[in-house]
Amino acid sequence: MDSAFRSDTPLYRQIADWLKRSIVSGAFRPGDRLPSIRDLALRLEVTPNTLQRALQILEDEGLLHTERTSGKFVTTDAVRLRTLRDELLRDRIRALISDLRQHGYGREEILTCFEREWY
Amino acid sequence: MMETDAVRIQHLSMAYGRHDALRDVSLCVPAGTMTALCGANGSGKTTLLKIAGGLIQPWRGAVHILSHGDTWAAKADICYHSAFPWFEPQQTVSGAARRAARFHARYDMTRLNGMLASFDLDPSARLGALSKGRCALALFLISLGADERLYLMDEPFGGIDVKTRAQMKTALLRCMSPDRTFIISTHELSDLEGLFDRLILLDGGRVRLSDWTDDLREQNGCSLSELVRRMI
Repeated sequence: MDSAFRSDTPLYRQIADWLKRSIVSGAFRPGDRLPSIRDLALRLEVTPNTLQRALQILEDEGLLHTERTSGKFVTTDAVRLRTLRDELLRDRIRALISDLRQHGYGREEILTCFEREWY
Repeated sequence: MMETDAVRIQHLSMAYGRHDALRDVSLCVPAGTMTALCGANGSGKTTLLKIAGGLIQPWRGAVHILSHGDTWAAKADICYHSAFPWFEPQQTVSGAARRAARFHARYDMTRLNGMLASFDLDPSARLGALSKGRCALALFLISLGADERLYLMDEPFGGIDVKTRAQMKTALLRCMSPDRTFIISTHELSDLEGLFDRLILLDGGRVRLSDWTDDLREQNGCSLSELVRRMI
């Protein structure tokens, strides 16, 4: 798993993004309890402190909540989950557009190719 | 992020004769963290670890370890792993472990045996019959078997192959808990980036960096190994 993370940007941010993608993809479903911090940190090969910092981002953004004794749970708030889906899509599209623009592609070219390749 | 510091050092200086090993070193290490102690050869890493471990005196400045008043008293809560661990070649791995256990009030033989098994190290093997790397690994695991609050480890990854280093990383991560703090000197960082919460970089006996690793990545836009390469 470690190799999946780049070492030139903060690991906790990359882990937070991975957790968000896992929620959108359904690997972690609404209401699911996350594995313990210790287990998840070992799986990702990072320290519990790094993982804790990533989880804090998701808690601050209302995607996780902590129940005092039983652990951390994925939100069941359908509106919040919907915006998360939209946010991730928007971020990916923005990154793609910015990359293609740097390579000199225009709107029409991109849209034409997008329609042709969509199946 | 952490409320308490396991190590708090203020204005620490230490000289060997006319050679200044540490010059006005001030730093804190939060409890429950894994710290990489980096720097070129002769930058003061070993001296710093030895002072924190209560192995050498005298020095000038203030050193607080785990709320103990002096480093001598703190020794009871410390596991110090030397860069040149002493061992008897005739001794077996388990014999050396029993010997180490006598030096620690709390020693977790079950954890050690689990780690030995996961590294495929035979407890009945004689240390002198193992390769240099396997012997170093066995002595490292024996140190990790101590159930202490502060682990000071001097270059445990030196001369160890990449695959074994990855296993050592996992063993260290498994040992982490909020009441255990690790300071590990190392020249290897590129395959251990995820292991460390904090980085201390020494240069000519002075502190160049002492910060959270992710904050350093953020501020410098590069990996820890690249950052250290740029700065020394």
